[in-house]
Amino acid sequence: MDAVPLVGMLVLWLNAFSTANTIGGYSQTSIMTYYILGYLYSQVTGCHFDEGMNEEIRKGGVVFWLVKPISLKRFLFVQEMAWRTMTMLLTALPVGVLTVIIAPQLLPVPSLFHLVLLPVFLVIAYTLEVMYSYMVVAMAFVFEQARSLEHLKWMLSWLLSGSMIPPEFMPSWLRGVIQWLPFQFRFYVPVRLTTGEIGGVAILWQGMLAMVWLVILWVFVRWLWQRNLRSFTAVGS
Amino acid sequence: MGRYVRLYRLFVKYSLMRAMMYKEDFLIWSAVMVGWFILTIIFYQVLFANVSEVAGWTKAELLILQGYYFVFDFILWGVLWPNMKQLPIKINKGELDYDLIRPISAQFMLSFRELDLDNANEVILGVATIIYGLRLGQIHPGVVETLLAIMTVVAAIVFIYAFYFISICIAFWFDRIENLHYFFPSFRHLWKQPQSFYSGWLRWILTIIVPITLVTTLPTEWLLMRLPWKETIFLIVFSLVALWFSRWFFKVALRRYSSASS
Repeated sequence: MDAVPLVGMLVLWLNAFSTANTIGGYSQTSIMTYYILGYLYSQVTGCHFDEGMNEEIRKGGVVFWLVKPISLKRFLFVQEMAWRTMTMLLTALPVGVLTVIIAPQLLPVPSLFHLVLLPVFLVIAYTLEVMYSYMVVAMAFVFEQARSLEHLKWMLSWLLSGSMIPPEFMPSWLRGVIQWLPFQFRFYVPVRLTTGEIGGVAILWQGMLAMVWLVILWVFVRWLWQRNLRSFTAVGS
Repeated sequence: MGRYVRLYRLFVKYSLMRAMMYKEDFLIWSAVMVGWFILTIIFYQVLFANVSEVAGWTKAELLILQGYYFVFDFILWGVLWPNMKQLPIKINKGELDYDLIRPISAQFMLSFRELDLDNANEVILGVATIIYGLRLGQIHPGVVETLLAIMTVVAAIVFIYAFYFISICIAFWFDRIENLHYFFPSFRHLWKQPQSFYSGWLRWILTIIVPITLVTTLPTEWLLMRLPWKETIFLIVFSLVALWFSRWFFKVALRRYSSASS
């Protein structure tokens, strides 16, 4: 059922192109490719452990995890990786195979250079997603309504990753903001990498930007997690 | 019938009291809904900055349709979802007895007992979007068209309820189905687009077999004065049959239920 929003989006864009050959520099085929590839990658890199953990923290059940001789953060990271593997097999793979059967022209074959770099960027994207989720969970230790932060995370991701609409369609000031933020690594950057629209220097620049964000977020998460965990109290669990 | 109306009024009153008890929660969730609403509007603003119309639908017309989408979103998440998510749990734990022994329809109790009013502002935002769309497109529907639009909204709500309830009743056949209550709501993404956007077999399925695409399209078309008489009659008949079927299906499904001495 995860693919239903994708179907809705593709239907909308197919109709948008019924009276125009190109919109915002995209052709009908390239926009379909954009959303299908983006869907596949976001299924692989998405992170959702904050949804369950917020409830565990609110009810005090998190104590069960905190007393175990393994870091909760590390456990969540690995557990989510297992989920991603399952999602990849059960959701992304069928959609990918179906696309290859029905409309193979929508899935481009990346060059060897891009193909080698793609997994690296997907791992970075996944790690960044984990960082956002860590932040939400860390806030749940001190803020009862952390579920609203999950929505904030989704909203930012929806708008700034390129999953709502390609950044090329957006006003130039917003495009300028997006290219400095880490959200684009979930959707926009892997898609552009697959279609070969990001070249040598740009890839290096994107890689450096991603690493800088990883370091910033890792330091911030570490500080936030320790600080908020000290304030956390639970009764009777 | 009067008894059910009185009871439902009590449910609403109780839910409102509960929502007001946790004011911060209510305000934060209202803000979250406003956030999603703004994003949807941004999407259409950006889209229509690049195109003048989508398959014959103008920005104003699609905004009216989105307005209805917000209204139905509240019906789905605020009115039905809080109850539907409970049913598989009650079946699994054998806790249905409490609802079955009451001197009132068990289906009514299980379907409407709880309301989540945190996202009730979606109705206001939806109606505001419809009014804005009408003004933007300089569309002036008459009283008859407006009343028929409201009537199709009611028919669509009946359809949504019936199909959601039928999909949840599947839980009677399985020991445990996680996330069954998310199955039907996933289809709401399909009624985010007008029926005419779909073509071929997909359009046929989403119009005749399960008329999901008519949910938002018909009330919008009435306000646009396109007079979709045939489709409206079809939706009303379909919804009533689906409602009847949901009652029959629930009774059949109940035969599968055995309690845990609760």
